[in-house]
Amino acid sequence: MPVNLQGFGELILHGLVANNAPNMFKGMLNTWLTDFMIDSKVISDMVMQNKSLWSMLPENQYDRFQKILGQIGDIDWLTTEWLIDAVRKEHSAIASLFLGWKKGRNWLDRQLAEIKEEAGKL
Amino acid sequence: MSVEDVFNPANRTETDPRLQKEKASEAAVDATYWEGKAKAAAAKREYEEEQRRARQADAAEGTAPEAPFTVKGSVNLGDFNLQEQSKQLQTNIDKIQADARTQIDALNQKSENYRDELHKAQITMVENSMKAQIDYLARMIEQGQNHKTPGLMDQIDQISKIAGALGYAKPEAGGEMPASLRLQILKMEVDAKQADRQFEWDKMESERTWQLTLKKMEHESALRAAEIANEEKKRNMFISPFESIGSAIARGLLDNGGRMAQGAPQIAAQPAQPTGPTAKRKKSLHRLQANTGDAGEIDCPECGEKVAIAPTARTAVCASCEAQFSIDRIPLPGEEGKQNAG
Repeated sequence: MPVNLQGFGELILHGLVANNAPNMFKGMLNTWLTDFMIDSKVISDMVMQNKSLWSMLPENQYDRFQKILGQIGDIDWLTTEWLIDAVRKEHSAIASLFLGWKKGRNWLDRQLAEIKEEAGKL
Repeated sequence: MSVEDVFNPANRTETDPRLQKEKASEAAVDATYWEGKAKAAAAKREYEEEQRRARQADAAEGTAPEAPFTVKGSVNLGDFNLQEQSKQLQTNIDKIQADARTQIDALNQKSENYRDELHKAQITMVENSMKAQIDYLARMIEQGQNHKTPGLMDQIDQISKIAGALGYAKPEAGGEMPASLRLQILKMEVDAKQADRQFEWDKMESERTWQLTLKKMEHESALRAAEIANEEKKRNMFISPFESIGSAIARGLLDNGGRMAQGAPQIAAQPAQPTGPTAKRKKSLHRLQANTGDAGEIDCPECGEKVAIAPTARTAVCASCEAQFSIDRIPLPGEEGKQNAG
């Protein structure tokens, strides 16, 4: 008896992504930091210049970002503490920067708040 | 017996040394004066004696003996009349100027004559040319009326006649080759040269077009490569989430100990390590030193992991062993005074 499996793949992927979003994002974040050679110096420069992370995302990528958010769903888990823990193992210097520097920590708080706010508007 | 004035004795001896000195100096002055007078009188006498002798000597010189011979005669250098000379000079100048003017007039006259002759020659030439053209046109009209196309030889004859009328000599007919054949050959040569020139031109044009095409292709290729690189960069940056999703999931699961999460809220609720500013950390005995505004990374003195030092931070925390280090900032030479003043 033939079984219609159309849509099952997407459903499975959706569930997989939604259930493992923090872990996946952690992996992607560490990959990005390594691939783009972002170290504590780059981050501290961004903090000193008060650069907005959201403004670095091109507008033509908003749709894609929205789709990803649609897959992930809730992003309340994305906090400063979570982010520091996420990079602690692979990028200990970056984690150490936010742990010991109040200004850097405040900047990271602001950036995450902005990303959440802007993502809510999409 | 006469009474002697005891208050005014006849003989008195001056005992005052000052008065004695004055009297002595007066006597000395008198003696010097008369001595000077005597000397002046003697000098005067000597002077007069010398004068008298000089006069006698002059009188003796006036009566000198005559020379043994004398030369007499005169030279007449003539009469110099400057006015006369100037007048003569002026006359000469006037004469030279008049001659020059005459010559210039003559030359001008000659030049005028030449110009007139040239004009006449030009007019004659134009007249001849016009006449020849009129003749040619008249003949053309005549031929046109007769509806007869002139042959090549007729045309050559006509051209020869026009050239003759314009003053050009008729070329000598050389060789045994007939004129029409020679003309044909010349025409062929001209055509061949023209064809060669055209071929060269086409070749150059083709080369240039090819070079241009090549350059355009190179440019397009470079542009395309840049676009591809840009696209790839963008893809790596923003499109990769879904492409690298497999590896991300794998990494995330590995970090999670290979367990599938039971839902996002549960993951969020997982107890995270205390990372906030108020989290309790062991303070290390090690102190770090850095210049004001310096930032960078060092190895943790406790565990050897990388520790970042922020530009304005006073403490650094190791993310691995949670050790907290105080940072002693060394003020820069310029800022030292400011800090002390502050």
